[in-house]
Amino acid sequence: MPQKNLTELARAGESDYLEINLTRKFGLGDLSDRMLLSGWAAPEENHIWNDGLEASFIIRMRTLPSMPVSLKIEGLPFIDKTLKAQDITLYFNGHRIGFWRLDKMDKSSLHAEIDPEHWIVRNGDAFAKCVWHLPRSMRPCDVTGANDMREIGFCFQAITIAEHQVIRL
Amino acid sequence: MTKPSHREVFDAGASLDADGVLHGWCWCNRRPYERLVVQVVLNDRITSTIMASRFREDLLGRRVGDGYHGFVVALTNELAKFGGGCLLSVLERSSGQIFWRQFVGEFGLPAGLADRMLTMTLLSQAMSQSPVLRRSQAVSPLATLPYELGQLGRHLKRRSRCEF
Repeated sequence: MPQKNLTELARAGESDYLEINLTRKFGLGDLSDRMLLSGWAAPEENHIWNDGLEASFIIRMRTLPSMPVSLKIEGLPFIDKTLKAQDITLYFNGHRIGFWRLDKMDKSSLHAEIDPEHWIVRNGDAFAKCVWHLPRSMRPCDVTGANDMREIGFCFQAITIAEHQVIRL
Repeated sequence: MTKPSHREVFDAGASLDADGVLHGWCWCNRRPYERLVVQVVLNDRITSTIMASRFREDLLGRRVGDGYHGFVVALTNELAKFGGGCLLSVLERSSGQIFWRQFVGEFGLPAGLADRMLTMTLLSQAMSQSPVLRRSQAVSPLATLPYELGQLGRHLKRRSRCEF
């Protein structure tokens, strides 16, 4: 997929706004390729795979969350007999906010807490560039013999930004 | 977001599987390509808000828009918190229209049901003796109604965990 940058997306109004507590689907029919920057395979029905060692997308909100929120990503890691686990690191506007080691090819939920200071505000909108580092992404054709040349690590299915209940002691 | 008009008809439904996962779809004939937002409400609390944008082959086959109107919500944890039962509702957000509702959890009969059943039995017994129903030579189906109701009442009393 052609690469885009954050400024282009912000100017063109190309990306969809995300809403607090509203779950959106990756893939055709919903987010499709609208918020994607680089490192993605073609969107499929109800999901999209990363393609390469890094994948990035932008999140755009109409207002800056004044409280910490939690970012929840649902998806499926690419695991095989020769590939025992997927390591995933998430950078949110450059801040390292999450690391996960997934060793089962089951549906997984990745949760990360985002503080208000982590967002960038442009023209009143809150922006964030999320970079997913997936160093163990592999080509299925090298692992399983399937005719799939993409370099995949995680299948992204849904995204939710939810109000985060913080208990302060 | 488009404001709902009064003539809008929603084609929507849902089902809850044994694992506590809610599968459903929501589509509006006046906004056929719009992805509608549905809210899942447990008792009176919204637990999930999700865009109905999941592709389903069966929806496409039934010409429900372009087929991207499904949704799936895992409620396993939320339902586990309501061990004694809860009312699960699903509604379309812009109209507030509830299109699916189900009581989940322990089965219980409403209080006073046995008394109402007894009253119904006595009333239907009286009705079956009325000249209107006895006029025909053939046995009226209503003639067996008191017996059936009585049987049902006794059965419910045995099954029910409520004390009447």
